[in-house]
Amino acid sequence: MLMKKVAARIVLAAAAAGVAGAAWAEDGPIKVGFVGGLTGACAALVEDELNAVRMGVDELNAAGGILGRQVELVVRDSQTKPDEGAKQSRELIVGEDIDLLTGVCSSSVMLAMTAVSKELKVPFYSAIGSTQKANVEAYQPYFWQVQANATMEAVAAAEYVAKKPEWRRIVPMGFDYEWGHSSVDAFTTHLKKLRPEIEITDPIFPKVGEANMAPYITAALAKQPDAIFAAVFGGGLASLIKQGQGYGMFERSNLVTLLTVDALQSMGDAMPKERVFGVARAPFFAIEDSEDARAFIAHYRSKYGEYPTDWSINGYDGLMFYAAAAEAAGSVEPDALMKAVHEITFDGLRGNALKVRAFDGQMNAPSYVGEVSFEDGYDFAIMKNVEVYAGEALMWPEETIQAARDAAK
Amino acid sequence: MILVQLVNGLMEGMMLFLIASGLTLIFGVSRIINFAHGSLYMLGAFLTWQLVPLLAPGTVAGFFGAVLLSAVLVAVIGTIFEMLILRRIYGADTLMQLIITIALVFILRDAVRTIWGPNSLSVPMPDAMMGALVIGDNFFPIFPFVIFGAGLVVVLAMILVIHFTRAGILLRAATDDRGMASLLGVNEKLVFTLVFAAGCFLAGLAGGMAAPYGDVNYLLDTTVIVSAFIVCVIGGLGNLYGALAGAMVVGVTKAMGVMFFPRLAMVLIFLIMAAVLVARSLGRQAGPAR
Amino acid sequence: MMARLARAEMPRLRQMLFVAGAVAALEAVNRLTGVSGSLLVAEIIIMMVFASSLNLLMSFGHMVSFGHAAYFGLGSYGFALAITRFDVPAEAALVFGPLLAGIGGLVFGALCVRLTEIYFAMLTLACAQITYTVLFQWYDFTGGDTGLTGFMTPRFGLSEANFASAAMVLALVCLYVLWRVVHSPLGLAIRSVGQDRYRAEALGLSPRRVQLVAFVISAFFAGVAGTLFAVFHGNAFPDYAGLGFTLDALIMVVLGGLNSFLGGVWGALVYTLLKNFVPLMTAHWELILGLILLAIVLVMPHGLAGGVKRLAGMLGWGALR
Repeated sequence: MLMKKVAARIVLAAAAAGVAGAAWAEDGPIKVGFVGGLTGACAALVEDELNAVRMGVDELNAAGGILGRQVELVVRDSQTKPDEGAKQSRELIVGEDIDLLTGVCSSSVMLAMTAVSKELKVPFYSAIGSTQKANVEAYQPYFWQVQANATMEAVAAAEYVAKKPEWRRIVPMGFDYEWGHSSVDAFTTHLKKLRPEIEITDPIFPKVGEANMAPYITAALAKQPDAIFAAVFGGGLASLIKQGQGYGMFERSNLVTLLTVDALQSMGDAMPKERVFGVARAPFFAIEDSEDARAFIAHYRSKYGEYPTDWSINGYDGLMFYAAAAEAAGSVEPDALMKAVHEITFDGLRGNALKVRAFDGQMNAPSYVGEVSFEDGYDFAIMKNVEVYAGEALMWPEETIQAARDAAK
Repeated sequence: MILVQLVNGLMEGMMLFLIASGLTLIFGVSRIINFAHGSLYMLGAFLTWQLVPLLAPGTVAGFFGAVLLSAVLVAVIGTIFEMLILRRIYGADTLMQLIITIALVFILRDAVRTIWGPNSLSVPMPDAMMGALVIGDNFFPIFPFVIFGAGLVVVLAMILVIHFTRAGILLRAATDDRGMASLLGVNEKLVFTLVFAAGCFLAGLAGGMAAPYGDVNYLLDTTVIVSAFIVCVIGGLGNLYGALAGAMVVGVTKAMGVMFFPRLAMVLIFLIMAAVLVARSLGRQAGPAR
Repeated sequence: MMARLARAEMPRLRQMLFVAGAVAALEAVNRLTGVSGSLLVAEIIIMMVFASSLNLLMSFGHMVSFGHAAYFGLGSYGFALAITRFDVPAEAALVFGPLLAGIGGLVFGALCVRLTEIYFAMLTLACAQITYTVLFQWYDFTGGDTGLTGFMTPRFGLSEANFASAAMVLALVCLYVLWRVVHSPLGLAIRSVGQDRYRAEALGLSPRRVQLVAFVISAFFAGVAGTLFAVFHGNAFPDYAGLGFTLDALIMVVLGGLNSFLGGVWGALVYTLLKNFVPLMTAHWELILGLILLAIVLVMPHGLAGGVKRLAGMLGWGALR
């Protein structure tokens, strides 16, 4: 499965690999700097990504490495703090000569690290953190992200909601910070476009990480919505679902929210049997058609004793995409590599023909929306009737991004 | 909706009281600001997660058994910590005690992450406590009433202990005038240890009780500690009844804030805290010099 | 009190030798250990200024702040906002960091000094949380949780080593000013109010006014540190006004040793080193850091400065006191 990926289809002209920086090391191991929030708010997500990246590095090395060079992983803890993230990145770049920077999760750390990547010209990708600010205002040419960004995810949710004609009134809800607000905005705008007649109420913004969602649930249900769209995650999401049951939320309404595999797992039996709809990044149960993905899931399970989460799958895809780009470029020299990043087409666990758009560093990664359901063989709820939304349809067109960039100036 | 929100607020208030009561109790007697109170709460939640399946999952008795056992375990851990470390520096600057409790925050956070991992866990709610009372269009979930009941039990137990037992007399003596109590032959060390144990018990109890109503994760410590401080300060540090009142004020403000000033919810509470503190200073100005 | 006054009379030469030695040692590390070393030195120096600003409040004014990061954060944002929102040239914007922090100190301080002891501390906490929440939520102006980035080349484009040296010079100036404050009549007033506000009042001082002045000075220098931090990283985030930095500063000051001018300096040095090196050695850095803190407090209940003082006393070096 591995060789197929490394030998990904190469669309670019052979000339792409030409220019190599004079000071760039061309021998010794290729160093991957992983600066992740191993402690702090992101710990659970980053651990899953790191597990998959470790596995990927072992596989690459077993197959002869990248460009015949071994891959060495250097891991640092950003503590989910932007200053630590920036500092550790800088130290790895100047002290360890890393060829690639990744591991980022929270939006603030991501923006701090993309600035370092820009300044020191080291390729940097995100497989968890998904703020579209990194594609828009803070975009820089050494950055790309391998999962759907926050806006794309919200657009996918809107597409899904639009197809439920019986839903006529929607209450949007989001954590009161950048991710929550931009998700709610994108969702509302897109849904209005698809179904102008639908009623979308004023959004509700709980504090980030709020553990007591009862007042917000009461406020949302008082508007008698057919569905609630909630851009919340982690403890707040668990509280929303658990406390919502006491208010008859899943008899009186429906919930559409971000549901990654780790969230499904930690909810366990407490997940309502129906009326919950999840937007996901890379749920393993939705990609099992592919032989590569089945092999990856089996390998991951045998190695770590648990299912890979969305973070694991995107983390693995991210690393393999880098490997493919480096092979295509014939070098890990930043400018040559970035040219390849923007030109290759990659077959990953999440499907074929994944590409990174040069204009904003966004991969045309798919989004998955489905219906929560308990199925035999799993001790947690998974999703059925999962719809896959191809990335191209979700991405902002270049003109929209340009307009947003101009507006931010 | 106002009625439902009021009930929501009171329910959250009682939860906050459970959290804050231990903190204010410890401060009242030994003047220790226990930054690790949130960590002990978190420990109680994780222990409850561990114990519920071992006892009788799904039953009310199993749940309360697990919560009480967790609270006792947290109290034991707290007592060991007090006797081994905190006790050694009662003579030093109180700020040294603060640093020690901050060190405990670091230690417990790592211990919890190592034992249970960074993923969120879910404590199942006993079947009998699920669901809601439905009155007209209004839903009143049952579980918050259980927490409310537990809070009332704690309040009553405290009143009984403080006013009608010898331990309570010693406690009041130690709170009012530490030096005098000690002169009169009260074993100060013992009182401190017992109070610290009781405070830890309450932290563990709160963590266990709240566990089924949200998720259990290793970031609960910081989430909880700031709320606990706010409640204690509004009520007057060291004042149990004040903590009860403060908790209700915070709970109701948060719930009502959602209706009227949704984006200000968090600032609003700090503003109340600041206002109470400033009002306190004005009140003091009118009184005698000290 | 007497001992502290006597210290002012200490031989100037020894003090200057000590300072020169310390600067030489830091500069040697800065120049000889590569870029990583320079980054570390710069961080230590910034934290020295931050901790020393809190030390003025705590050691001399006996005012315990649970919200000192507010002024650090306001320093970062005063600087970054001046550039991003008001188009002030970056060099000129430097003054706006400490200025905003000082103004914040004046407003919050005026409220806080009405209270004493634990209630004072709790009000500083409330003020800091309000500051943090505003920075976090006022998306259109402060950038919200995603902060402000890309508004300047980090360190004004200076090399890491040169930036560390420049920060060292600035830190020396700050520490000298703080030293002069402590040993001026104002410093005496701050100390006497800190020791016994009623006696000070009887002596004709206005305790609240004195405390407010101390508070503003302290906030101003925390703002200097915050501004330097923003220049160092080329960004500003609400975290800089958050509980994490508040606790860091508290730990540094208490660990370093209360009632000593150099307490903040020693604390910043040791704690920053610990925070940098322990995570490199183990994933369980929080556990190890906690245990080390416990050990230090149990072995040296009067802080590092107390420990150093005793050691220096044994060796006969008065200047280290």
